[in-house]
Amino acid sequence: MTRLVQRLGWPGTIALVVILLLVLVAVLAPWVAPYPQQGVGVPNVAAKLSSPSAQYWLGTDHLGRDMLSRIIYGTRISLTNGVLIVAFSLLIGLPVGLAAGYFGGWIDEALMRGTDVFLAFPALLLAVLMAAALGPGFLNSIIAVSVTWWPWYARLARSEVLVLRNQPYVEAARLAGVSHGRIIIRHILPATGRPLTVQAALDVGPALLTAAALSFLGLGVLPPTADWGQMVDAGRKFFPARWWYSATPGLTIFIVALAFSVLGDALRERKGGTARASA
Amino acid sequence: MSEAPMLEVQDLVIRYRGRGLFAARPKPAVNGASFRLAKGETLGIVGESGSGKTSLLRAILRLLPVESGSVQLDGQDWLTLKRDALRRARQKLGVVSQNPFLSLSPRLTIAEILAEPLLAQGQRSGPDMQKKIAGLLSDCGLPADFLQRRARELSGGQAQRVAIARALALEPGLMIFDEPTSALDVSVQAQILNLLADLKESRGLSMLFVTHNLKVVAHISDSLLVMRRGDVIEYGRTEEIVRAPAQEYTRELLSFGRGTEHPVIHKTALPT
Repeated sequence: MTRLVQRLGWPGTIALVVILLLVLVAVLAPWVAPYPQQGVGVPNVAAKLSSPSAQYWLGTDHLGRDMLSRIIYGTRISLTNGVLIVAFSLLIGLPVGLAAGYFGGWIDEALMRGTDVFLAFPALLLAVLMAAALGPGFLNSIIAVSVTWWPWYARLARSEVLVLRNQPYVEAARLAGVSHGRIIIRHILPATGRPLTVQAALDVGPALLTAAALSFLGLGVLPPTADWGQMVDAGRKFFPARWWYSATPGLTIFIVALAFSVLGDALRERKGGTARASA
Repeated sequence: MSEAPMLEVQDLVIRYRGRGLFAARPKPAVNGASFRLAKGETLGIVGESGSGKTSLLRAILRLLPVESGSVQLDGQDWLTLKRDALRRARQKLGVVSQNPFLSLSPRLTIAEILAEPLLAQGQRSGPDMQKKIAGLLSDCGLPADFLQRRARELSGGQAQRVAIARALALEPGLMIFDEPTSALDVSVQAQILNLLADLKESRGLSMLFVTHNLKVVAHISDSLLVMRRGDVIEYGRTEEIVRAPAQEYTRELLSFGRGTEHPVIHKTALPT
């Protein structure tokens, strides 16, 4: 524990603890939530829009569902959103970056100019356009955000490969007659692992935030599934009189995004990674 | 000399591209090098840094494009080979580079590193391959328990032995060494040179040996080629060049390497 604090500093450690708690809550949602049924979406109209009390710690929404339970269930959606967006982005960006960096020449030019097309648009705008075109839904919103996200991984992977491909051990493999595919997978890919995993871990936060923004705009998960962005949106109609409806999920998003950002800074300072603008 | 030479290079010119569209064409890095290396012989290519010896070597390895000239490897036109044909033909060459810690993949075990060229040429992994790998390692003077280690756990000399074992894996006719001893300390250098001399004898290898250190090559080479600023300034049998260097530059190279009285390290003087 003291070693962890030494390496990440106090803010980083606290952020890490918050994120770990979040993961734990997501996994244990049915046991942690005071009203699991309402968390899943069963209405409880008798208690609609009750203010925070001993019975409903964070109040209830317009269908009388316990906000705390809803937020706890929303953790699952938010985290899977974040993780899946990063995973999809890696799935597209990594092969593109590896190929561009390794082969160079016109392949590099073609792939990277294609990548630039996606970077030319503001990320959120492109995500909204994609989501609008695909229609709302869990998977669609993830695809929409991934489309704006993968170019960063392509560029990161490419820059790693540019260094690695001239390493003597890669050259030695080439001189032994090892095929390009095998060189990339066996000799280059493992070495790109560390910087890419750090970046990917840091990106879960911003990705989750973007997904929340989409669902706030009604382009994400559909009710009755609990989702923070969508809850903030639903609560707007009752704001400010029933302030807790919007404020509590909003605050949750704020805390989670802050935790990821702080942890990211802590890791980046330690690892000396690259700074980059997030969406 | 009726047999085809292992390697024959004729009028090889290598020129790097100038920077910018209107930049003057740079002087060639290698300006018309020619030599032939008979089977079972060793040729030393000597020169300071910037003399073009590394460019020449990289061109022979097909890592650099050639402006003009030809390279025949074992009677085959080496420069026109493409893609898969080139990839397969690479098994005729074994390459050992300067720094073994950079040329051995840091993430693989020694066994995996040695298996890599065999797998690349389509051999199946299995007990036979394991036996072959262990044999290679012992030929290079390392016990089999090194197989599960990684390169960073080895000393410089041990790692270079692994690199030599890897280069030998496909039983190449020609071994190419790029400064194989300059990253090692002196006593280890001598051991590696002895290993090379033994391998040459037992396997009938042809060797191409690139170095800035004339004394290192003089005692294992049959002939020498001295380069300076892209030109071949001297080429002939080792004894003749060492006895009576035609160029002042060669004499200077010979007098480098302080600390020994004799200009040539004699094989008998090396620890075994």
